[in-house]
Amino acid sequence: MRLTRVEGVDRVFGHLELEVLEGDGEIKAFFRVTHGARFIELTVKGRPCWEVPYIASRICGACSIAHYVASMRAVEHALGLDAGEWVGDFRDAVNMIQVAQNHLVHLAFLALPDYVGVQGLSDLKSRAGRLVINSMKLNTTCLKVIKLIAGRIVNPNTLGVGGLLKRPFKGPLLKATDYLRECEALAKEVVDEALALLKIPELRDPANNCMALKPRRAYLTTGDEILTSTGLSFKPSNYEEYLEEARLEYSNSKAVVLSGAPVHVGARARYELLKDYSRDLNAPKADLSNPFSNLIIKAVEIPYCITAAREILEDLARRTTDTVVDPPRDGGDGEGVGVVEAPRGLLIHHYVVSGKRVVNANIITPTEINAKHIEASAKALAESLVSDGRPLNAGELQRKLTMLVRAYDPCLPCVVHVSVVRGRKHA
Amino acid sequence: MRVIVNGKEVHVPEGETVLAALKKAGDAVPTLCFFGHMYREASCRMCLVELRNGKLVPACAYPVSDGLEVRTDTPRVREARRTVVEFILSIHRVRCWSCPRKGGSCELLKLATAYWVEGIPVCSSCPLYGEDCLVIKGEPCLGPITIAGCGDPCPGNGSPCIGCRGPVTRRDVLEAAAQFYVSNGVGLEDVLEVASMFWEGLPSYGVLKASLGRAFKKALGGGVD
Repeated sequence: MRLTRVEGVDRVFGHLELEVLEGDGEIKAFFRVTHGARFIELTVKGRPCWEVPYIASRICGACSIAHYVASMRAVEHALGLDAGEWVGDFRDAVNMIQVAQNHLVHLAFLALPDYVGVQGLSDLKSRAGRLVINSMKLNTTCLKVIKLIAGRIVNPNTLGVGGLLKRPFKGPLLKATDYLRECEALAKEVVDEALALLKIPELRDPANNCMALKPRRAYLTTGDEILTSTGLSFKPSNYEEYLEEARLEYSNSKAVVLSGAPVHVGARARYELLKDYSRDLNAPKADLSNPFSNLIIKAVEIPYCITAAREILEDLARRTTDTVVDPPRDGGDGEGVGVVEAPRGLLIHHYVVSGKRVVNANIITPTEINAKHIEASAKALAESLVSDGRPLNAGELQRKLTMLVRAYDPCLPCVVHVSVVRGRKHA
Repeated sequence: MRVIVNGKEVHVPEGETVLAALKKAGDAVPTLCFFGHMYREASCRMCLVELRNGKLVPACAYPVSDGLEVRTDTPRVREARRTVVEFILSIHRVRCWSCPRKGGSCELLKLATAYWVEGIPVCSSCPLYGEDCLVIKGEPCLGPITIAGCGDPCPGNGSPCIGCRGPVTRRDVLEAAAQFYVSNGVGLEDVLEVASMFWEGLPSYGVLKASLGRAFKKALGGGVD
């Protein structure tokens, strides 16, 4: 028997459905992606490898920088290139600003209306006008900084495989740090106000299993080791041994499990696994075994990212060197995996390069990994709100499930990068 | 003299032109060949305005008369100006990559963008000069054969143009571009490699490929630029 079906969840990126069924005394949840296929993995096949980041960054407009950086790192890994420390730090800074901007949009405009008890942004403005206006200001500043240092708001074009395409100038970097310094206080104010409004519902994570990338320096920088709550620690290039991708009959996306169990990636996973690095975040005390706590960690990551990005950019402005490279045109043979902590969690790009072309591509996005975890949490949530095969309050069940999906901040255009036609995998 | 510009009344002395009245009324019309009192040929016809009787006259040369009524933005005017841009562009020698007005000061590009005329390549607004030009560096940048109007975010940030606005389809432009590519050691395969990313799905891609092929053949055969 169908208990509830949450159709067309608004305030998420893309189209999805969540269905909760009951049969034989057991509750089952299905996270169904109804977004159409995008064929990105198919498109990059046969393209010259230095062009692949251009295409791969088009997977997502919201976090194009994360895709761009992961793609560049994968190609560099495959060709055996090293972009250098300056470029690595620069990419981290740009990615951090994007993380802050993404979290801000999600928290203030998409998730918060649920907790204030209003329908959408226009209603939220009448209840928490100052918060909305400040968030918009902060969002504009973040986008301005990205445009200033990375060339464009989406699909940045100063970054390139093997280095930078444009000589970094001290002026724009210092100007960017000024912009960021000005909005630091504003970010703290916005987050404090948002945290005061966030009263998250009680829920115990049924599969308390997290996965995150161990940073090489500070929290949210790129690294070369993946950690999990089950104590595993592996190189990104060995991800295929631990992560299994499965095609779902009922969804347009695939789902990823870690050694057969659902796993959570995202802000909460990062915070929980990287305790050594996450001290700077000053998170309030929260029950981290609650999937909803993802929102709290997202909130505290905003001011951290802005401050950390500013510090990195200040440091980079001091050692502006001639890092412009002519994009490599020689190619080579190899296989490379690039991993980045995107705003929504761990993002993996994997390419096989032969000659100068990419002959095979596999991209695993955070929402693909979270899909099974969302199902497990939805099941646990439904169990607490159902008795004797009947929902105690149908409206409440639907509302809570929608809130749960939004707390994960799924990005559906990212997830459907692969095509599935008549049950056959095409990419 | 009382002149009515788009319904607004202005007074100008006798012997002045309609353009003076337009300036006084604060209505701008594009001009290309007009240089104040130094030169008045009325040859470019960009400043056409419509009179009450439906006649199109060049504002820079038409004298004012009492009670004259002019309109500067009617469908007929826009259509006429668009045709004018097309005519001017048709006899224009498009070599944007070596033009001193590239990088944001090309009047023709501004008019072409305003009146939706396609035919000027991205190089016309590219900020990279001389040695910095990506084609001169030997990269297959699609700037010389892609329609301008994007404001050059990619070459301006050091990454080559990938042709997202579509190809310029004029044969002479393609031939000149092929000449430019060949003289900098960029081959047809390199260009088509990049072009296939966005243009392969175009219905006219086959024709474009053939035209580019012919243009490159001519350039390699030693055409005169």
